[in-house]
Amino acid sequence: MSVPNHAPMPGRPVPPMFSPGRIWTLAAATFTQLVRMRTFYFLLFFAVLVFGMSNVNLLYTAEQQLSTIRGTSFGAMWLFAWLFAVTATAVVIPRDIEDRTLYTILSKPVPRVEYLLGKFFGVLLVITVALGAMLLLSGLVLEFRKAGLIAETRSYLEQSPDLTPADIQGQLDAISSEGFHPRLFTAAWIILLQAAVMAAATILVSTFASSSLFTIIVGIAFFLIGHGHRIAVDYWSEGGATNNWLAWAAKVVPDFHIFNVHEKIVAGSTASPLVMAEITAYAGVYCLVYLLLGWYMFSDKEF
Amino acid sequence: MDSQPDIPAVYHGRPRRPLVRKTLLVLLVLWAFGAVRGAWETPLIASLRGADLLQAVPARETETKLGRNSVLAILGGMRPLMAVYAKLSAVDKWEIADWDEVEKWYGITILLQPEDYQHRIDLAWHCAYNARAYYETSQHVPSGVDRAREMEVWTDKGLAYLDAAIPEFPDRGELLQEKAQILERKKHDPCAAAETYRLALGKKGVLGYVERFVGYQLAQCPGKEQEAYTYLKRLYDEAEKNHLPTLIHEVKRLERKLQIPLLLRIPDPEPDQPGTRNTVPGLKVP
Amino acid sequence: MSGSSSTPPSSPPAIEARELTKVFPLQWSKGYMVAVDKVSFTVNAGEVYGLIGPNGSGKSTTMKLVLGLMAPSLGTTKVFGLSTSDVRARSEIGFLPENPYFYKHLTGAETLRFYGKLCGLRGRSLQERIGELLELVDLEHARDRRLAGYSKGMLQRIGLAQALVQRPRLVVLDEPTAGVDPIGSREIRDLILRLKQEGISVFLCSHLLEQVQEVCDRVGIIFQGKLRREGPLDELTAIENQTEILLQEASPALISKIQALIQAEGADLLSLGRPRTTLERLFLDEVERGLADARSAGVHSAEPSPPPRP
Repeated sequence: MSVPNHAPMPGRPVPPMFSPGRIWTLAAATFTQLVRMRTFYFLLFFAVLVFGMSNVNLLYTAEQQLSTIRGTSFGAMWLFAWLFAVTATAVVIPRDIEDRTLYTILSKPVPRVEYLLGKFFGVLLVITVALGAMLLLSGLVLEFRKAGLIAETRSYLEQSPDLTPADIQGQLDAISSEGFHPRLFTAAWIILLQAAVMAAATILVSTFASSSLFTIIVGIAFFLIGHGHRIAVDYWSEGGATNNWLAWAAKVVPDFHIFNVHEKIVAGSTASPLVMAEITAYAGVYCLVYLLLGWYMFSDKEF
Repeated sequence: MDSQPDIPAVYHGRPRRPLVRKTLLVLLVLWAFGAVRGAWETPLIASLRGADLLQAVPARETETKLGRNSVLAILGGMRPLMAVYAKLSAVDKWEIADWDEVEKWYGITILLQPEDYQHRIDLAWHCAYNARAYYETSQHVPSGVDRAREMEVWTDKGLAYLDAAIPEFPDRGELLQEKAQILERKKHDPCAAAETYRLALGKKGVLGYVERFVGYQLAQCPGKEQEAYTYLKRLYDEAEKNHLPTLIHEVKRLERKLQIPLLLRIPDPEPDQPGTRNTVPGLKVP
Repeated sequence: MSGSSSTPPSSPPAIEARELTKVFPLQWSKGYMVAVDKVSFTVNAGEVYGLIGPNGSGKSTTMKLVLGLMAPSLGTTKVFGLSTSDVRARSEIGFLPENPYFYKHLTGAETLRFYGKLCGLRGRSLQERIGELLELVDLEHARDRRLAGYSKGMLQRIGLAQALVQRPRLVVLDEPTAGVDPIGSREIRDLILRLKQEGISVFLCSHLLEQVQEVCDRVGIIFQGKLRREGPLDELTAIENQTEILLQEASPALISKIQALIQAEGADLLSLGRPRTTLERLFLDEVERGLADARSAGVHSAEPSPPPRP
C-alpha cells in the first residue's frame, strides 16, 4: 500500500528542526536536576576554605596573605569546575536512560542534538553559577582582609620615623594590588572554558560508554593526559627525540596546557582582550568538535 | 528469544556493529583534528609564554625532572592548594625549630609554585634569620664554636637560595633587597650590601627608601665615605621629604669625618627630631 | 464524539509497520539475535490496538521501533504517513513508558510544563493545557506536589498526562497498568476508553490479557519476535462452533426442557451454571460499595499515596 507523506495534523505548528527554546528547557531542567543533587554543598566547603585561609596569619607578609587567599580560592574553583564538568556530565545522561526519562523526552519532537546541547549547557550553567558565587565570595573575603591588612600595616609603618609618606603609600599600594582585581574575572572565564571543553569531551565519551564510572575514569584520564602531554612533548622535542606513540596520543587528546594561563592571571599577569578572544575561540573549537562527534555517536544510539 | 535460523539475507555473514565502526571513525576524526590544530596551538602557546601568561617548561636535564614536571603539569590548578599545604607544613616545622624540615617543605612549596618569588625570600629569611637566631642560643649545641659555625652555615644557605633565585627573576627587586638586608644585618658587610641595594634600584617591587639605604650602607663602607657623602647630600638637596633623621644623622657624621667646610654643611636638625638609625621594618609580621 | 466520526476517511493509518525486523549483534561474539522478525501490522486512526505477548517476546522492541528510539534493521514504520525517524512524526505521538520515572524534583504541574515546552507550547495555552490535563487524570489536588511523593498510580497518570500534552493523535502505552492497584488500573482503562472516544489512536503493549480485551478494537499476538495472530478482537475471540445462551429468571422446568431439546438435536451441552463475575469486578464492586458507604456517612476519602519523602 502506498501511503503519501502526510503532514502533521492541520492546525498543529510544524516543530522547528532546531529550537534554542527547547535547548534552554532541557538546560534548565538539567540545572534544577543537578542543584537538587545538592551540588552547591561544595560552596560550603569553599566558604570554609576561603574564610579559613583568610585567618591564617602564619604566612608572613600582607601581600602573601592576600595572594594565598587568591591562589587557594582559584585553586578550589579550578578543581570544582573541571571535576564537576566530568562527573556531572557523566551522570546526567545515563541517569535519564536508567529512569526512562530519556524515552519520554526523545519521543517528543526533540532532535537528539538538542538533547545533548541541553545537557551540556545545563552542566555549564551550574558551573557558571557556582564559579560566580565562589568569585563573589573570594572577592568579598579578599577585600575585607585587604582593608584589615592595610589598616594594620599603616599603623605599623607610621611608627617608623624614617619612612616618608610616599614610602608608606608605596607599601600600601603594593598590598592593595594583591586584593580583588577585575582581571580575576578573566581567570574565572578561562576556568569555565576549560570546564566547557571537559564537559563536551565527557559528553562524547558518555555517548559510547557503557557506564557512568567508565565515563568518569576516561574523562579524568583525558584531563590528566591533556595537561601532561604538552610537557612530555616539549621534553621529547627539546631533546630532538621522537616518540611515535606519544605523538599519536598528543593528537587525539586535547592540550589543556593553554588553560593554565589562569594561574599567571591569578598571580598578577593580565591577558589582553585579543589573548582572551583567542583562548575562547580555542575552547569553542574544541567544544564544537567534541559535541559534533558526540552527536554523531548519539544520533542513532539505541536505548 | 533464540537466534533465528531463517535470518534475512542482508544479515548473511556478520551483523552490523555500528558502535565499533563509529568509535573507530571518531578516533580517526580526533586524530585528524589533532593534526590540524597543531598549526594553531604551537604558535599560540609560544605567544602566551612570550607574554608571560604561561609557565615555560624548564630545560631538559634529567629523567627525574621530566617526571617532576609532568606531575606539576597534571596538578595544574591544584598547585596553589598544595603549595599552601606545603607552606603550612613548613610553618609547623618552624614552630618546633626543625630547620631541615622547614627547608624541605619550602623546597616542595617552591617546586609547586616556582613562579612565586616570595617563597624564595621566605626560605632565605628562615635560614638567615630564624635558623641563625636559633643556633645563636640553642642549648642543643653546647659548643660555642659549633653554634657559630651553624649560624654561618644557615646564613650562607639563605644567601645561596637568593643567589639561585635572582637570575630566575631578573626584573624583581625584592630578592636583591632581601639579600642586601642579610648582608647588612647578618654578614655585617656594608660594602656588599650597598652594591646589592644599588642593583635593586629601579626594579619591580622596590620602594623609595632603598635609594637611601644605598647611601646608608656606603656610609658604613670603609673607603667609600666621600662617595657616600656625595650620594646622601644629593638626596638631601633633592627634596625636603628626604630630610629624615637617619639621613641627616649620616650626612652630619660624614661632614665631620670628611671635614666639610662649615658653610657647606647642612643645618642641624630640630631639637625635637630624633636622630635615630635606620629602623625600616622588613614588613614581616611575625 | 466517536472515533469514526472524528477521523476523516482519507486519514493515513496511525501506525503502519511493514516487514519490521530488528537484529541485535551479540556482544563478544559473532552471533546475533532477531528480536523482531518481519512484523507487519496497521493501527487505523481512532483505533485501540493491543500488542500482547509474554515477557521477552519483542513487544517493547516493536514499540521502540514505532517511537523511533530504535532504527529497524529492515522494514519501515510510519506514523500518520511520516517515517518515525522524522522528528515531525513525534509531534503526533504521546508515549508512556513502563514504570515511568520522571524528574522527581519537579511537581506534577512542572513536569507537564517541561514536556509541554519541549513540544513548543508556551504561555497561556500551556498553562491552560496543564490545567486540563491535571483535571483529566484527576491530579489537580497534587499539582504542586513533587513527583517523589507520588504513588505508582499517580505517576502512571501524570505519565499519561505528559503523553497527551501536545494533543497527539497517537498514544503509545507500554504496560500502562504495571504495578498499579485495581482502582488505578481501572482509572487508566477508563482514560484509554475516553481517548478512544475522542478519536485518539492508542497502541498498547501489555501482557494483561483481560485488560487488553476490555479496551482494544484489534490485537496482535507476538511471540519470539514473530506476529502470530492479528485482527479485530471480536473475530479473534469468537469460537466458531460454540453458542452461548444467557437466561434470566429461568425456572428449573424450563432448563430441563432446554436440556432435553439439546439432547434430542444431538448437540453437546458443555456447561450449565450461574455466570461468574471476574475477581477484579468483584473487588472493585466491594471497594465502590465501601466508598459509597463512607460518603453517605460523611467520611472524606483521600487519594491513597505514600507519605512524601523527607
